[in-house]
This record gives sequence, structure tokens and C-alpha cells, in this order.
Amino acid sequence: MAVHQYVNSLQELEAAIEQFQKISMQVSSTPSRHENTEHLINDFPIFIIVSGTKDKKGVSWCPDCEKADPVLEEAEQSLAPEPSAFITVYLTREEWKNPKNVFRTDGRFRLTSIPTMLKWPNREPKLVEAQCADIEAIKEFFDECCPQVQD
Amino acid sequence: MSVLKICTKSFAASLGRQSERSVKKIYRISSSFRTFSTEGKLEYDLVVIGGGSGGLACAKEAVAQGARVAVLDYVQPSPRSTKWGLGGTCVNVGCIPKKLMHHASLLGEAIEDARSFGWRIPGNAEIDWLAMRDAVQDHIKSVNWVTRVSLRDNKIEYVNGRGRLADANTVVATLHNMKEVLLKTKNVVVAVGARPKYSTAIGAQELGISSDDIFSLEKPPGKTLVVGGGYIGLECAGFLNGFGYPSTVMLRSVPLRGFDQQMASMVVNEMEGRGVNFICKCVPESLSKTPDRRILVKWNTTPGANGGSGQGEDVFDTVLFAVGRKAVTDSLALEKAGVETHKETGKIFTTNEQTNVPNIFAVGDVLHRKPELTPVAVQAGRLLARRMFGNDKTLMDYDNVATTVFTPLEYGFVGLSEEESEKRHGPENLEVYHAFYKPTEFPIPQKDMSNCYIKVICLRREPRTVLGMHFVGPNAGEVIQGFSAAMKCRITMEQLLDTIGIHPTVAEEFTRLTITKRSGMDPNPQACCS
Repeated sequence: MAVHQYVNSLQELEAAIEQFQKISMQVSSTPSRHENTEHLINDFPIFIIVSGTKDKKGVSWCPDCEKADPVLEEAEQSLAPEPSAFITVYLTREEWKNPKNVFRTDGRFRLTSIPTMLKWPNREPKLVEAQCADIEAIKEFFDECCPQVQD
Repeated sequence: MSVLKICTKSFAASLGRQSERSVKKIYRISSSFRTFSTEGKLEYDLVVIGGGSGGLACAKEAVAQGARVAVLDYVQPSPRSTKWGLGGTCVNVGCIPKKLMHHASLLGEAIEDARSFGWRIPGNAEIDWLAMRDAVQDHIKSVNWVTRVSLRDNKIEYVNGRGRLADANTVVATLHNMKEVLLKTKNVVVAVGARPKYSTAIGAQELGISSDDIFSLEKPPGKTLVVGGGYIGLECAGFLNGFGYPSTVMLRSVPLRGFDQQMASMVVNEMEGRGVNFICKCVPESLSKTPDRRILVKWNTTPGANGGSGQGEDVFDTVLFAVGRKAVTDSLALEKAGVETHKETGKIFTTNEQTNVPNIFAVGDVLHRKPELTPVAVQAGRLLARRMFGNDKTLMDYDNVATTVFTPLEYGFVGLSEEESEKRHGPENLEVYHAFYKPTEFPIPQKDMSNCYIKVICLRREPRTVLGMHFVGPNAGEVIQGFSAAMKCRITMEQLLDTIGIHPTVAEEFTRLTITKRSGMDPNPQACCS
């Protein structure tokens, strides 16, 4: 289960990240290790998906984004680390095709294709294009970003 | 089960125009730990223990030959708690970050040289350690990820766990959550590589770092002592010095032991000329913390040594131990299958990569008396897989493997050192051609050329087969690579000198050699194009 925000620009993305970083999520510990105690955690992964805007019919101009959509949603529900936050950035075709688009040029992203999913604030590892529609790749990605560690 | 609650009201309010539509409904779901089948055993044709250069190459080739393969990879954190991802030493804490930092260091020098060529560059170039480190680590992470994706694309099962043998056909993987997975397999390849040793000096493990840590060091290293004169120590001291961090190298005996010593002395001369301080024939005795959180190191003459720098002490910000690497075989429980290893080094005895146990093999740095190089491990792993699962019978040729030491002025070579050539053939049966040379681009920025030197050792009788080629200079790796193919074809001195050079390059110097050591003539360059 995750919380999801949808934004349309870098400014909105930065604001959303800041908001997520301010909130605390309540989560209970693994039952096998302790008694069921609930505690607040401030440090949860924030995943950013950069995707193409959808038209009035809800179809994206970006075919790979269209394919990835349902898979990413499924992954968010059943595979994402707990808890985690997601932010999807929607770019129009004109915005993305512009070589000066901030998501291509900004050193924090340097995207070369969409859809791309990465874990803030790391540029690597990341899922690109067809990988975003590959549930196995997404599973590996979550495991690589948030490796299970011994308590 | 875990329950996720967030303060929906205030959260929704703070989202502004995003409002409730972006806040999903909260509901209970089960924990999603990465699941792995632990009931029963899994059957494989090959289990590779170690996901580094050798292990991965072997695994991929095995799959290409139709085998069912699993790769185990696990990184024991360093004493400083440094860890890394899939890919082994080369990708994470070896060749790749080393070459990147060496390159970054040379770029700083290039910026200064550029002024002599007319570039107007305001101010002084300064390294931002964290920015450089982050750029390097980003690249490493992308390689970790690409490696992982590649394993999946090749249908190789990847287990992120610590492997050990239960018997010759069973590998046990201990995962992060302490669960154990049993893998039944027809064959095992051990490719666990090695890890840095620490000196026995007091405080070494507590206060020192190693090559495991330097490439991800969380703060600038500052004034650094590198203990160890092998290629790892020299390369690290080289780039740290290039970044502007005062660097000292402490040698127990000689630099680049086992390498051609004349060439090694050129490399050291160059580093000294660039400001690296060398403490000779000494070993550290103790490391202790100073009140201002630096490290006081006390050292003494190496037991049994004559001369050298003598006893001393100094304060450093960082002490990097590069005193050798030990094979990671202790925890493999190799004795459960009866695999024989060297008592002191822990390395595995093999013949054509096969251990004394017929279905257990090994590749890479873990092998006894084989070059510790990525391309060697890769080729050996690949050929081994072809012999195991394909029809190929080709054996690995460990001779004439070219290599390069990436010190500020690089040293590349292929074949035998002068010492080894003399040992095998006797000095009277050798001819040694040599020359100092002047790279075209060096005089303008007034770069020191006194260590730009090449040497070719060949047999004196016909056919005058070339035994060794040695080069100190810029881009040594690029220069030497092609010549290793020539050595494989058993190139003779006549053929080498019959080769026409590309001008102006430094590599062409190999085609212009005329002066032998035996003649006693001056090997310094007379004029440019004569």
C-alpha cells in the first residue's frame, strides 16, 4: 500500500517531495520479532514516475506509459515496500520532446526516456520504458532500492 | 500484517488542489517481504558462488550452453561497514571506480595544462570530493542494476545470500533474513574473489580504511597515508595526490613487488616528482586517535631490512591499508566437500580451473597463482562453461596477459619482466631494447618527461621472439593492448621493428627502438622524427 500524488511540473514535484518528507507514517513492526507495536517512521522511500499526460479518454500519448500504467498500479498495491510514497509527474508530448526539458537537463534526473521510475533522490537504479511494464523487473527494482536487511 | 495509517485530514489539506483524489483508501494488506521458496530443494546444473567478473561470465556462458544456473552473491560489510551491490570487486570497489577516479584526477591536471595551450581559465580548479564520489557511485549503481537485469534476461536465478557447501552437490545460501535455501546442483563454481587484508598494527582495523571504503568515502580523505606499495596502494595514492590531498606511501619492501623493478622505479620517481611522499622499508606499528580526531601513526623499520626511512611518526586524516588481498574461502565450508586450499592465502588449487573435487571448479582472484585481473576471470569463466556444457575443449591461456597500473603516469606491460626473463633464459640469451621518449604534447605545458620510458625484451637467437614489452607513459593501457595480440602471435623483434608507427603517438616508440642495453649507448631521444 502506498500513498500517491500526481503532479505536472518540477515545481509541483519538489513541493510534493517536501510534503512527503514532512509527514510521518505509522507502521507496525514485524509480528515475528516483537509484540505488535505501532510506531511512526519518517524515513520511507519516495518513488518518482515520470510519465505522459492522458487525453480526455484517459489514454496517454506515450504508448509505453500506457502499457506500464496498470502494471505499476498493481506493483504499487502488492510489491512496493511498506510504507512508501509515489509521485507521478505527467508531461505533455511537447514538454517531453523539448530537448531542454528540465527532466532531461536537471542533474537530479537526466532522463533519456519515459516512462521512468526511480527512487528519490537516486538517479540509479531506475526502470525505463518497457521495464516499467515488466512486473518481474519492478520486483527486482524494489529489491535493489530497498534491500531487506536483518533487524 | 501491517497497518498503514496516515493523518488523512491534515495530509489532504496540505496537498492543496491535489486534495482527496490522490489519497488512496487505507486498508490492511500483508507484508511484502521478498519471498523465496524455502520448502524443498532447487535443482541446478551449475551454482556459481560469487557474482563478480568471473562468476557472472561463467554463469552467462553456461546458460547460453543450455544449463540451468543460479548465482549467489553476497558482500560482507567492510570493517568500516561499507557494502555494495551485484557485480563483484571490479564493478564496485576495483577497476571501475579506480579508473574513474584516476581519470578525474588527471582531468584536474589537464585543466592546468590547458592554460599553456591558450585556454583562459579563471581561478584555480578544485576537486569537490563528494560531487566526484557521487558521480562515480551513480555510475556503479547503474552497472549494478544493468548486471541484475542482465541476469534476469539470461534466466539466471540470482540469490542475494551468503553461500557455503553442505557437500559436493549442495550449496546453502543464507539470506538477509537469516533464512537458508538449499540448492542441489551437479556442479559448483567458486568465484568469491578476495578482500583487503589489514596490517597487524595496533588500531589498524579500528581506524584504518581499505580500497573497500575509499571509493565511497563519506568525507574528503584529507592528508592520507597509504600503507602498501602494490598497484592498489600506488594507484590510490596517485589519484588522491592528484586531487590535492597530501599523500604518503609506506613501503614494507619494494614497490610493485614481482613486477619489473626498473619500470616500478620509474613509476615511483614520477609519483615523487608529483609530491607523493614515500616512506621506505617501514611498517606501521600503531594507529591512535588524536584529540582533534585525526590519526597518529607510529612506524618502524621493517624487521630484517637494511636502510630505509627509519622510525618515525606523523598525523593523518586517513590511513588506507593496501597490504594485500585474501581469498574469501574461510566461510565457504570447502572442507565439507574436501576441496584443497592453500593454508595461508586461502586460495584454491586448480588445474584448468578444476579443483581436486571433480565437480567443483573455481575462477578469478580465488585461484592459486593466477593473475588477479577481471579479463582473466571473465575469459577463464567463459571457457570453463563451454568445456562443462558445450563441446569446446579450449583451455585458458594465462600467459602474455597484458595489464596496466593506473598510476598518474601509467605503466602498461605484456609478457615477462626483465628479472623473470633473466631467470628463465639467462641474461646472455636476452637482448633488451630501451628508450626514453618525449610525448609531443608534454613540452608545451612543461610536463616532466624524465620517466617516459619503454623497454622490449627479446631472445638473442633467431627467431628473436619478444618476451616482454614495457611502457611507462600516458594512456599505457591503450598503448599496450594491441601489442598483447602481437605477443599471442609470438611476434619477433624483426617484425616489431618492421612495423611502421603512427605519428605522432607514444605507441609508435615501440617501432623506433634501436638502442640495446648491451650497447651501453644513451637511450635518450635525439630528435623528433629521425
